[in-house]
Amino acid sequence: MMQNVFTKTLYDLRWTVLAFVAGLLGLAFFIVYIYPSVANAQGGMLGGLDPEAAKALLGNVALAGTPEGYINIQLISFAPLFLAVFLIIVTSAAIAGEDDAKTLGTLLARPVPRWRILSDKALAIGLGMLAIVAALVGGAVLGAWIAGVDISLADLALAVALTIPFGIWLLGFGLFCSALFGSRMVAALIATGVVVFSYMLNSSTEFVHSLEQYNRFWPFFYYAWGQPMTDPVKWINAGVLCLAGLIFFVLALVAFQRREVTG
Amino acid sequence: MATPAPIDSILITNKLTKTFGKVVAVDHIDLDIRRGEIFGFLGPNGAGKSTTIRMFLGLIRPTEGGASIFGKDIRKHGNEIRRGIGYLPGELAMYENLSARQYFAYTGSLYGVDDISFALAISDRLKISDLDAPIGSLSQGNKQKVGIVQALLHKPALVILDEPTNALDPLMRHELYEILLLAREEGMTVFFSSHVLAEAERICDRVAIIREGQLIRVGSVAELKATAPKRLVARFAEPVEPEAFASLSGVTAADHAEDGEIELMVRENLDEVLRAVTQHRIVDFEAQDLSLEEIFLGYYETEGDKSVDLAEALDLEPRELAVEQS
Repeated sequence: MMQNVFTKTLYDLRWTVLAFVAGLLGLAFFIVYIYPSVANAQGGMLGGLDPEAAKALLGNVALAGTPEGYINIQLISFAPLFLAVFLIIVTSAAIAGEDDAKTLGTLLARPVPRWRILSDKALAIGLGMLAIVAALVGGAVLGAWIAGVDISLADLALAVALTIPFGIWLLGFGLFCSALFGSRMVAALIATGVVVFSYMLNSSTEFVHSLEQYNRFWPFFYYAWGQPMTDPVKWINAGVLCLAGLIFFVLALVAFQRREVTG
Repeated sequence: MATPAPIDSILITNKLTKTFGKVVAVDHIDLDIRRGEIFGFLGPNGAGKSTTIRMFLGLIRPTEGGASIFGKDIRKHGNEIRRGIGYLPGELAMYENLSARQYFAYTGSLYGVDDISFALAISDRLKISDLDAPIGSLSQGNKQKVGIVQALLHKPALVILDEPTNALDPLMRHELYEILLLAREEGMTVFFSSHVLAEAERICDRVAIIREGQLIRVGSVAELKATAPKRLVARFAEPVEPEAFASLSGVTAADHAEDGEIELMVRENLDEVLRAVTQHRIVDFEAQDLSLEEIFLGYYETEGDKSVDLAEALDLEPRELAVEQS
């Protein structure tokens, strides 16, 4: 069953992934499924939001009172944060966690190259991430279909699936922190800090325009924020996130290769 | 750059050095471990034993010098070298959610070994209580046994054990010694670190003593004992002062022992010393070899006159003696 680091990592992740899949499948389904009830009960409650505030927080105010706007506000805006929780937990455990637990020395004493260990772990975590995104997509599409929400299911599926480039960025960045720092706590705190800061910065730029020049250096600037439901998909942004994730993964390989295991 | 290993050498270090900032953890160590021997690497905690082992395994990089294992440079062929090494870390940690059986299967697969029957046979011999319980639920002693088995399961050419008898009871220690002796018969080379001298004395072909990162002495236990002084303990019918023997050639220490006995440390000229002793009426007399423990302590005692006497008695090099006295 566990024949290499990849399958061992999948084995270790199984319950975590299952919990996220079950939880987010149910959450996505619930959020979308109740849209008709919410819309009927409040006569489009989201339309009552202050347009500028809604736009600042959620990206596209024009659709705030529509199914697309509602799903964008309630699901798409938070989906990368759900994904971030998973990715920060598991990437920090991947290397720094093994170092904390003192199992890293034994693992590195095996005849497996370090690049292979990190790649196997990245692949297993990536598969777990895809399963979680698939659960989000599945829950949202299923909820819309069963509740008869007037929305393109393909657009909805793509909008949710566009959390994947963000996930790839965080997978690379999280592994970089994990490979660089000897403590899981430090690795997780730094990754969390960057994600939260970027999220807040991106939200703030709507109010504080002078911050816009800095926003483009942070990942949430490139997040799809509901595309293609709200706007055409900017594939270049998805590409930037994927490329940044790849660069961080290469940096993680270098950091891991140079790492000395003294404990 | 490490010197290529001669045919009968399995591990050679060449001025192997590791520093952490200003701290020199391992200081220009030269070792030559021969194929098929059990080699004890002795020193107290913090002497540099584990740091040396970690360099062998590529967990840390040497600051200076190098080493070759199986004739291959540890910097260039780490992965290839590790295929032939079994390793038990000093601070043992394993995946506690796995059972011992799962852990053996996983470890074996990383070495390309699918058949874990050898691991199960050693487990049986070491009486591991439950192979299917999570490792986290096992006692410390059983965890240590699992650690020993995982180091041996792929029948490595070189077994590196860092303090292997930690947490083992005396019976299990004995069983481990038997397993290591069997491993040697199978052609494995065993390199193990320890601060328990009795076990080194019992099973090691050769030992090295390391102190503050420096290699002080390498040799067989017999050689170490042969070059160490004899202890003569004599009880006389009438009072005799030890000074009567202190000036004799070959006597490196002379002092009162318990119950009015006189203790002499004699390196050479034994016959002359014995003649001097027999000038007095002897009630009781005993000649002893120093144990490895005493020899070892001779290198490590750093305070008091006794240590200096022991260091002198053990014929430390002037540089080593200077360190000893400092």
